[in-house]
Amino acid sequence: MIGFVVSEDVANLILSGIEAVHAQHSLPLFWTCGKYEVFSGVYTGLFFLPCDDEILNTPLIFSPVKKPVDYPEFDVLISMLGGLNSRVNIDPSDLVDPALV
Amino acid sequence: MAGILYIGNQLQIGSKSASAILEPETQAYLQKLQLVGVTPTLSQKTAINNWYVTGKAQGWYSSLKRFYLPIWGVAAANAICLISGLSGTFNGGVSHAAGYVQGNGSTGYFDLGVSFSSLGATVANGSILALCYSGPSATPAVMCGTFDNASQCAYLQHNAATTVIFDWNTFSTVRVTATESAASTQTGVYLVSRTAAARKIYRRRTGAYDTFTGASGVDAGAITTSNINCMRDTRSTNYSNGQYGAFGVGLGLDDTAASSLTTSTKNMWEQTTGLVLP
Repeated sequence: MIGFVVSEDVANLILSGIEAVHAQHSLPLFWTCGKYEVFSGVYTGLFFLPCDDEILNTPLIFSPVKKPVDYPEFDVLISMLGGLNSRVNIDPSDLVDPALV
Repeated sequence: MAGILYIGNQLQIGSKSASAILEPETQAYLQKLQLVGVTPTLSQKTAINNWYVTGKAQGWYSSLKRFYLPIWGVAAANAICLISGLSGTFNGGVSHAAGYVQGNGSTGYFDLGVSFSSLGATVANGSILALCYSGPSATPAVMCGTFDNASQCAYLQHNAATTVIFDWNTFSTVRVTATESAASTQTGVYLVSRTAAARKIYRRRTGAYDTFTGASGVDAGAITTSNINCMRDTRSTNYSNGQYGAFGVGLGLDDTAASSLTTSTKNMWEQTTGLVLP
């Protein structure tokens, strides 16, 4: 899965930023990329923020259709994460808590 | 032939004004949809209005605390609650198709932003509804619910290829199990209800309606306090990639209310989407 791997503090900062974008557009919070703890692999202990094509192109509202990439605030948040080239590809199994299996 | 025309919020048939006027709940929901760019057709408005009318007449509407119709193709519209007007939050990889939402099975889920506790549910009083259009490719996969611990949980789950399960408050020991054929065909309107009398799964499909009954009696423990999630276990596991056209939670329902709610939900979903529930 493609996305950013960051500390929990940075993950929370990004999610707060997404929430602020909703508020700036007078909308309730209805969408985030989500944050997911990494339990195994080289990024163990950090948090994953999904940012693949599906996330980037999620249809958010109509008239006209807007996706995350259509908001200027999106570029600001992505730049805070180091840009799209800073994304990594991790195995979905790395997000599975082994204690629950 | 008399035509049917909506003028504002009033239904007119021919030259006569009918007694049918859009319910205030319908108007409120339509206004919320309009703010995010969705304009339902006349037939969709009628179907939604009929759901509200039936619910209030049959009595189950007051027991429902949250209900979502994620059929509109955009996250903002799909997140709007038909009961409260509030919005839940979609997270991760979720596809918003015409007629349903579908998680990607690894990160996608819907957070209702509210707990069973705050909705007034108790250890002997609660319900969950999910309309599944196509089952998941792997199990276990949660349709809707929460899991705080083994004595505080409430969820409806595609458990295995041949079982759908309902645990209310207690993990496993007083479980209700519905028999199925395969994970992909675990479809229909599933309503699970906990009342003081019993725990039940009601499953409505086209041409079939089945009830599965579990044990009665009061559970130990306390009602779960975590936010209710759909398409995953709240412990961030058991993600579902099934296709879902409705979610609901609320208080416990009896057999009569369950039959009416599942029928009305099936009808509303089919009439607003043009799809046929398997």
